[in-house]
Amino acid sequence: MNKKLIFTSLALGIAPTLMAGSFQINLQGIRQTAMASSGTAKPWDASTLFYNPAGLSDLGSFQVYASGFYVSPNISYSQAPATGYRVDAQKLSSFPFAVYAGGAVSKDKRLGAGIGIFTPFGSKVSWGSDWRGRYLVRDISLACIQIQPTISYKFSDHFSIGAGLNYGFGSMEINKALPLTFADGSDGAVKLEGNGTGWGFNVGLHYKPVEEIELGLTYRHGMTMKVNDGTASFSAPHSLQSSLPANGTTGFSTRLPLPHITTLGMAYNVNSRLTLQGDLVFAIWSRYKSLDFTFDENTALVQNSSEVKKNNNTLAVRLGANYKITQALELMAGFGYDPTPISKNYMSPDAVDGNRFIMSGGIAYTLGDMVSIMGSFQYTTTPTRYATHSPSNFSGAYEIKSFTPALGIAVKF
Amino acid sequence: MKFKYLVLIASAAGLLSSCKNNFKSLDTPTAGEADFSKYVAIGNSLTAGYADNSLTRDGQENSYPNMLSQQFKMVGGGNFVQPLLPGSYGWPSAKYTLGYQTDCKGVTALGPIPNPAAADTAGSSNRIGNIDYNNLGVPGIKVAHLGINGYGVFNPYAARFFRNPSLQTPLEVFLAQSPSFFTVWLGGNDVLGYATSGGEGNIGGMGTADITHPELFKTMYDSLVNNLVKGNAKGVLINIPDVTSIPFFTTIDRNGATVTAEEANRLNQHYKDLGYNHISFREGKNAFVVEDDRVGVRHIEEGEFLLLTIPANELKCNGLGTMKPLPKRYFLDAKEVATIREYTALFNQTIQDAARKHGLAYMDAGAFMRSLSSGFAWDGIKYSPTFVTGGAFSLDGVHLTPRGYALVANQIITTINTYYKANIPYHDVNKYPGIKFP
Repeated sequence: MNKKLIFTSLALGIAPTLMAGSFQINLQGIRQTAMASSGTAKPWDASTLFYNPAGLSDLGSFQVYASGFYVSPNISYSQAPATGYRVDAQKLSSFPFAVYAGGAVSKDKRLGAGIGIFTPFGSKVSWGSDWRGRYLVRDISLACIQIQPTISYKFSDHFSIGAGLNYGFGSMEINKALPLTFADGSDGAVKLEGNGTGWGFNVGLHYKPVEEIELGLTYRHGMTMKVNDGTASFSAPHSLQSSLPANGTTGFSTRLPLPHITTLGMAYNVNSRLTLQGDLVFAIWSRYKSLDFTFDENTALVQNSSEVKKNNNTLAVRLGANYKITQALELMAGFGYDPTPISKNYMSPDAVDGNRFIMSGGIAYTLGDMVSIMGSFQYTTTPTRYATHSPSNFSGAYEIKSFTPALGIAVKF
Repeated sequence: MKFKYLVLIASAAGLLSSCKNNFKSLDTPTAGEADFSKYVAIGNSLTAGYADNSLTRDGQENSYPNMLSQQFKMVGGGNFVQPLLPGSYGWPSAKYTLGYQTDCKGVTALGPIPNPAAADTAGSSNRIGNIDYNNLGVPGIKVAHLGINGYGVFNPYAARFFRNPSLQTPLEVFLAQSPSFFTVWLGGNDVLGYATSGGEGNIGGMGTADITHPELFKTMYDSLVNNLVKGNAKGVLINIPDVTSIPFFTTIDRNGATVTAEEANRLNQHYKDLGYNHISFREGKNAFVVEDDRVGVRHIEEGEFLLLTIPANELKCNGLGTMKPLPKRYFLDAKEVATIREYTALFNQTIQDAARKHGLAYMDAGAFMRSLSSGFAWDGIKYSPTFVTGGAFSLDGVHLTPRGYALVANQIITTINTYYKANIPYHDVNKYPGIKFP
């Protein structure tokens, strides 16, 4: 027998399930979430640290802010045309959070400073061990936490700037089947797990020409998450052990570039009760060109892999309104459209995405000008999306729906 | 005020309930311009579901026509009956499985071995030719055989399910039903036998190792298709892939004669003594030495193929291919390869002409095989024509694995969908196991 076993392409793929689309990147503030994740133009509270660091000085006082989100998307696959073969990914919950402390810190209230800790992406999807796409992914779990120390400076009542430094750390775990069949007919498998880190920054401008109009412009430089100490563990029939790394495990490294995001926002303070705002979000996804895995030990069956990614840059639109029923009670609503960066022929079930329609709403109640309690929800839905993952020739239709409730509290000092 | 809260809560609850994915607007399967109510598959061993050097019940159930029939059922397809064997050990001989073998050098390696389990084939040769079958795949059949009266007497597979083996021609059996849809994948054996015998047969003969005369091929093939389309039946005609691209011919490395410096010297001296100065071995890998009509012996060249049936121990320990030139039955020389390709092209022209003449779909199985060679992916698995590990070819190096047959079924579906404007869903390839490793 030919001893050179061909590499049955592990076609390893991690991809940004929770980074693509809106609710993953932009669940960083309750009021903003309630307004379809808009909020670049107006510094609502300490969460402006994320949405526009220039707003920090404009907060006036120092604030502490905490929010938590419950994310549990419904992701489904169906063969197309319909055959009755359909898989609903196991509903797995994650709890992104955002905590901020910041505001004007100098006596003249011009200098602002703060720190934010938040979860810019994270994903859990489990398709099951026997589903049709198991050689692409059985389950995937990505988690990331970012820390952002931030400063801002207010030149005048009209104009301020801000900047933050981002440090991110996270973990990944991917399980997939390998087409190496055991005597009992079951599949081989590989588990890829590792931790990654990355650096980035963000800058912002806040301009308020007149009382009624506020403008914001931000740029978030996408960090590249680097995994250098990953572990790949293989399971394969005994007779193939010699074609695997020693003891069935090897180290690996990979990197995942996040998009550069530029946002232009405008807010219109219609009157003392009503504010309308909107954001245009331009994300440069095209820098994510390939997903490469480098293994410490290459063998007949395990070889470094590179998978081409074709991502489109996207322009998302987010609109929101805030209405003060009383000085203490506010209602919020929003609508947004986030086109997907993942092109139709390069969508893998480890990173399902489609053009997302977002509807959102929220409520805030402020106790004695000091403590605000906020609640919000976002509902996102994608039209049925026919897509193929060309490198592995896996096709089908996908749908995503998600209802994300959130709670938060902000305290002014 | 309170009313507003209620509205908010109610609309939130409404959104929660619409969180389920429904695929309401998903396409549904359609038959297009074809009618699949009665499907009949005509062909050879590939159509019968032959794999791992034998025919088994498992193999029949995993035949591409059976897979197609399951998909056709979603667009009005009817029952599909196969002449099923009782067991899955192989008939008439045991199928291959992967197992360990110790070679002449004492090295134990994994390779195809006859299934060590008892070949329980009781009842396999029972005649079951009392009904019409939808899968008419007959292992071994050539287009040249279509008009032979009493063909069933010579072919045990035909004898099992032909209604009257000693008095019918295969053509009569193939035309006995009036299908609304058919697939024909014939012609492979009209060149394959010549190839697997190392090119030892004749052109235009009727023997197993012969290449069928192109005129006979055309006459028989046309009379089959001309009659099948009577009654407005539609179908797919599938052509003959380049047989030299299958693992049976590509697995043994032609530069596999590995020798030490001392052995190389001895071999060079040996051939020099015989007057063959053009034989030259060096330390390391060398092209095997083969018999040749014109110059006596020579090294095998690029573009020539060694057969998988060469006894491995003879190569490894007894000097076959080095001290003893490989006999001609163990390889295809350049001229034989050219002959195979020439006749394959001729036969494929006949098949394509027939498709064109009758407005039938034509599937280029040769193109599919070539795409396999360059790395063909389906549902997350990359396939190749590599023996044992490539995923598509079974342990005999000629026939396919269940996954390989499912890939063929899906290629046929692509052909049908394109040609007949149908929308038939693909078969689930990953449902089937790959080659099982111990």
